[in-house]
Amino acid sequence: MNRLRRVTASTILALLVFAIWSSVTHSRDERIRALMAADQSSRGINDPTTGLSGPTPQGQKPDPGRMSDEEKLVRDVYARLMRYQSAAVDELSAKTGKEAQPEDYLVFELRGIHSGPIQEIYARPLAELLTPRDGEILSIKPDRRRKGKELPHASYEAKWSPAGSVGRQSAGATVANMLLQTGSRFANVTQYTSYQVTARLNGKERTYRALVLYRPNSIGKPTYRTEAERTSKLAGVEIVDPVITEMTAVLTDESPRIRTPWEKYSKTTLYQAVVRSINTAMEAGQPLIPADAPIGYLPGDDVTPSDADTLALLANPACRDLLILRDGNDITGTTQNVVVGERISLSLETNPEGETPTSIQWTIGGNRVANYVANNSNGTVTQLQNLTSETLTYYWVTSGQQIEVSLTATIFGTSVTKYAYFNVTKPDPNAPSVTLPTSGQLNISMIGDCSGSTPGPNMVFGSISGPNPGCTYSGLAGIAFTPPTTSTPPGSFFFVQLVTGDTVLYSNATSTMTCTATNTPGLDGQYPYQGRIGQLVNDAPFHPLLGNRTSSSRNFAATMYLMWQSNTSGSIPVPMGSVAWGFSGSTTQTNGTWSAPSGSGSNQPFVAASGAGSFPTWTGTVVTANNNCH
Amino acid sequence: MHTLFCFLLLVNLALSQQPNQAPFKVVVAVENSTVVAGSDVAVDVSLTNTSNQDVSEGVMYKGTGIDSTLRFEVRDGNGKLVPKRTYPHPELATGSVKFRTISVGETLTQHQTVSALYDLRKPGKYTVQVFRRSSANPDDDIKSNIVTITVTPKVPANKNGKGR
Repeated sequence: MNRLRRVTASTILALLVFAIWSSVTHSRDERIRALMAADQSSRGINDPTTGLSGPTPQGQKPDPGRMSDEEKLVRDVYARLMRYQSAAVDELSAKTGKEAQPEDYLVFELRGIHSGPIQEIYARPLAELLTPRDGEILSIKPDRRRKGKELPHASYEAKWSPAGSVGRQSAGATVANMLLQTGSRFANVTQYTSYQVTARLNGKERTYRALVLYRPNSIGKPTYRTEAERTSKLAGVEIVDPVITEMTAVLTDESPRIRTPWEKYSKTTLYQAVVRSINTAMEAGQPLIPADAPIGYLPGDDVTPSDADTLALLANPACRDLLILRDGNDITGTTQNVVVGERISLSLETNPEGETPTSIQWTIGGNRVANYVANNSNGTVTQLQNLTSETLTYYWVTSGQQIEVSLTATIFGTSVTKYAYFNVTKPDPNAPSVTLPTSGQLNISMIGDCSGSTPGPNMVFGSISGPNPGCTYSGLAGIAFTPPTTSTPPGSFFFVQLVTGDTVLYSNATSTMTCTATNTPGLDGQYPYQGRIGQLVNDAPFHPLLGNRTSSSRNFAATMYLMWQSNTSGSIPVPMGSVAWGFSGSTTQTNGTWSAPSGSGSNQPFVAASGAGSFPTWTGTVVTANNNCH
Repeated sequence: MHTLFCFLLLVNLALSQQPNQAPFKVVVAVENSTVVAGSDVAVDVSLTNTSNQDVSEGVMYKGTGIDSTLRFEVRDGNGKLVPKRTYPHPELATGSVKFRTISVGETLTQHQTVSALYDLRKPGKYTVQVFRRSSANPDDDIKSNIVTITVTPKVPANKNGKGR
């Protein structure tokens, strides 16, 4: 039983260790910090994966309750670089609007950390402790930003690059050889820390060995109380990382990290608070990174804004700001490129945050609607009317350049107006081609349905025969519409047809029967017309001719709308324009034969959409004329 | 030689017995499987051209808006065929013919209001199956899957004239 317990406990311990290591791959800043806290509290003596052994520096035995000071230093500097690099990735993502992927974040795994007096490795082959600098290395480039004279915030861009031509380690060289070759640089090194690094970025990975070398007075528990003491202590530490040569510079970097997006952050009370806390520490000569700071700590991490920060921010008129956000991103003063029908979701934000703006008034230029919903039952436009709320969603119907959006609101007792601009594009070409396959001619066609009844005479706009096997028909439609072909911007064309009027008259010697379509304008068939997207559509309306009537006539009118819907998320279909068309004709019966119809069909020119009034709207499908005869 | 001749004959017979590939696949789907009595009952019928050539055809839509190449079979909960609805003056029914091309591999989905063709106002369960007509012989029609639609009783209006 005891054995079982031991096995279970060992398994759980192994799983915990694995979980800690595997969580290293979570590289967003908050995750890194959480990891470091967990790592620090859970890690005990030197890493069990080390292949090296020996006493800890200065002959101290490792304290099982905490990691060594040297291990903490190594872990701290790599953790800080991960956080700086995360800041760079997040800032780039905010700038481009492209979501960062997990592989964009730099991740380190450190193993086999071992420290000792330098003498113990003098005779060791250098290659065992320091991987030669070759292959691909990580180039890191700091980006420092500041608003005034304060300490800059920083982020580090990292990318793989070839190592280039460097002096090669001679085969068989020892650590002593290396120290001698570097002259005075490492002349007074007394201690070392050796470790293995696995660096991952953009799907690439490299595992190598690196060293930290300590000069006198630079090792041991950090006890500094002033910035000068800290600087002096770190001056004796040199990180020899063959893949990231700038690690010693990272060690001494005390910049707070850039928070995303910088333009917004730099106007917040948090920024104000970080700058204040750093200035206060610097004026007092206190270290910006305290001796007992947790692994991965950066100046400003533990700062929270106070009322004094808010007041300080408000004292600067440039910091009292009103922002126009689109999908949560600041677009104030910028020009955005969008397409017709693209969802535009705007909101506002004040700086400092938390202020409740009053007297909000949006002004949206151009032709726009709040929404358009279309299906087989309804086509409904909602006008954009509420322009005084904090959020606004709408769609432009027509194109335009530099369409102005303005937002006026009262914040901190002052009325502020901000602007954003939009270039709205639409497909080009954007008009359908319209043809009349029978040149507008009406015909008498013998048509049957598929119930087995005998085909009878019908007046057709077009020329039809059938049914054929499978209940299909042959002939020509009276009118056909072909959508434009363009894939720029990405989207789809389709048609919607509304019947606007249809009256059929049947007469004999004594009476006339009138049949009129109702629920006009009503949807013809389905939405989209013929269920087709991006394809030719057509129509050949017909009405039956009755044997007991001597004449019949028909007036038919419809409007075909060319619609386009962008591929952008949440878009609505918008009209490109419409074509009104119709036909009017009559025929008479003599001894069972119907005459060639008089009259014809035609179409009006394409009318480009001009605004909200150009949308097709309907409530249900048209009720055909035969349902309303009198 | 005689054995080889018999073998080839058998192979030939076997091949000729294989059914021809149907030119269409028909799938029917319901937007709302439960509808209130009196509401329109509609299905989406998808035709996929599974042949190796584009199909161009004219299709008639009369007052009910049903594609003439489709035949519907609607059965009630007891499996009995539901009769078709009748309309006054069917001889006056207007309509239109629309031409279309369904390309190889393309799927055309049409919204078809079954309740315009069959009386589905009585509450209960109904099954709907769609057939794509192929010839004059209904046995050649291409079958779809079967969907079930439940028609629920209409909620009576309360004293204020509003439903519960």
